[in-house]
Amino acid sequence: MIDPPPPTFDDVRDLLSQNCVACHQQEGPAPFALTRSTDYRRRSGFIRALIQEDRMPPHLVTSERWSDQDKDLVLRWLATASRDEESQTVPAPKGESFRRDRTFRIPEGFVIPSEGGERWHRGDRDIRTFRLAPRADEVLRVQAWRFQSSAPREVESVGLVHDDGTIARYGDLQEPNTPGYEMTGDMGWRPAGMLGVLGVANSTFRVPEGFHFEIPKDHEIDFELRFRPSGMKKAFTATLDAELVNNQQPSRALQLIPLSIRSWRAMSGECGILEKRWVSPMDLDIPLVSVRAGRRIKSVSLSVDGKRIFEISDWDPHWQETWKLPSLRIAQGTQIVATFNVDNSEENPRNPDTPPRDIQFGRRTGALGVWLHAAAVNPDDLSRLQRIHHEIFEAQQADQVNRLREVQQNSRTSPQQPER
Amino acid sequence: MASKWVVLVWLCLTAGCQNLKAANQMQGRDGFDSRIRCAVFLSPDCPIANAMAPTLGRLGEYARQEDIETLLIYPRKGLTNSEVDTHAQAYGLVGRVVLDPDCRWVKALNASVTPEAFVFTGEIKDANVLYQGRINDLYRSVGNRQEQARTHDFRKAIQRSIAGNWKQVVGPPAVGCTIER
Repeated sequence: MIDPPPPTFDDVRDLLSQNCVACHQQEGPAPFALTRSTDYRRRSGFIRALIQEDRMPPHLVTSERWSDQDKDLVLRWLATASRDEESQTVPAPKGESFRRDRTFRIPEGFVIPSEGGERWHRGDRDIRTFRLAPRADEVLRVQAWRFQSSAPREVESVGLVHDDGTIARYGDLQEPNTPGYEMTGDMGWRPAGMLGVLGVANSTFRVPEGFHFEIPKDHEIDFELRFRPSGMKKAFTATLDAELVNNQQPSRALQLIPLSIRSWRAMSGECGILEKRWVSPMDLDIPLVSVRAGRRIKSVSLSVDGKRIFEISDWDPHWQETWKLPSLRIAQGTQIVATFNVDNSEENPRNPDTPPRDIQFGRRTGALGVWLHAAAVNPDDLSRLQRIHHEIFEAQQADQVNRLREVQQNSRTSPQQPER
Repeated sequence: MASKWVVLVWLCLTAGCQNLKAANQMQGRDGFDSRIRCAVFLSPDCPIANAMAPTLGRLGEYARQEDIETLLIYPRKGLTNSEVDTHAQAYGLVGRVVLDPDCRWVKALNASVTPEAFVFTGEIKDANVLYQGRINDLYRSVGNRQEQARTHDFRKAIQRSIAGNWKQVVGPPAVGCTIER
């Protein structure tokens, strides 16, 4: 049997272009550029290890993951490519089109520190919240966001929310000498992320057609920045561009339905499940979900009437962003369940505490959450849906501290694949 | 009898002198100068190594105050002196920058990733490794970063060596970017 000839650069160019260069380019969010064939060969050992361990490319969506054949092709190319081969360009994937209708800016002067530190609630990530300018001069219907910053490698995610200025201004006043403030960005019953969460690889985020995020007139946008210090101080400037829905175009505002767990507790070494159930009182379209979860969470899923429709099985706070659910419409009376698989043992490599310790977390808008960005199918239900958002948050303030329950094997899984 | 006392006093005095001598300047078994040295393997574009730069800056300063040299070894072909000097300066690293394009130091110390830390005596040809391993636990694995390091293995290794404990220790393995030999 004759072995097939080793793959050439032409065989792998498209795979590298679509899956690597989007992030690994100059000023991209990933640490080094992979825009020349020689960039791969120079790091072939490292890249091979990451591909073999399924760490790269970091797609969570199964449909986008490399098949075994794709992996094998790239691994063989890396193994056989000569260091002396001519360097060739790996083209960047075609960027999404975007129309900039409004631009919002953060106040200047914040510097991302060179290293992290303990925060006021221990174990949380490095966070800062900024008020963006200007305020909305009219009701804004946002079809897409685009976020650009001077520190793409340090930014982990940006959670967007709107506010009339009252709460955020109070936060800002606590630190009058520096831009922004070191607190999470919830605004009353409006959690950071209500207008979407932009993550590492989705700095341009488009709401599915027919829906939009709505910002009331005179409100300002606040954003909760989660960042990872990179070893060097970085002056931080950023802009948030909005593409608006055309005035003539029919579109429905997305309202937040929070499936949140306000407070939970786990003993050292304990593993188990936390769940939040909700029965929809009306027909809903749910095109997006956002997830809030920390490092002791192993997996997050969402089920509709017992069928799993969304799942991230290897949860990492990196994935704290807004995800698209392809055409999910639920009928009145449908039960939706958000499930968090908690692992507070040593076996969880992301557990911040070694050895693990007893923990308890709480947050008014939810220490854990899968948030449904939903629109009423019947336009007459819009104001009722807005009330539901408030009622759910108010009701959950009376919730007891949740304890973990034992893991049950649930075989009813056929998740729809989320998209970024 | 008197001569016995003389010998005893001489032994006590010399032992005392030996104790007063700084541990990092003790003579090695084979007789030549074997000062303790530290080495850290680095790469300008390894995010894990760069994330630990503030720690390395402090450790380099600490080692310098103890009269211990730290080698900042860049084991990649194609890097220039100017590039690595710029990197070390920009990240506030303290130590002597060493280019290692042919991986001589990598092979001598058996390094595998950046950043990997060493405490050793001797020269490149006959290095006696006292510590090999991670700097701290900031990264548990590639992509799995803690908010802050809580276990500082490299610092402890330096302190042990300064205290005169030359037991060879293999620390938890370093997590980082593979060194391409």
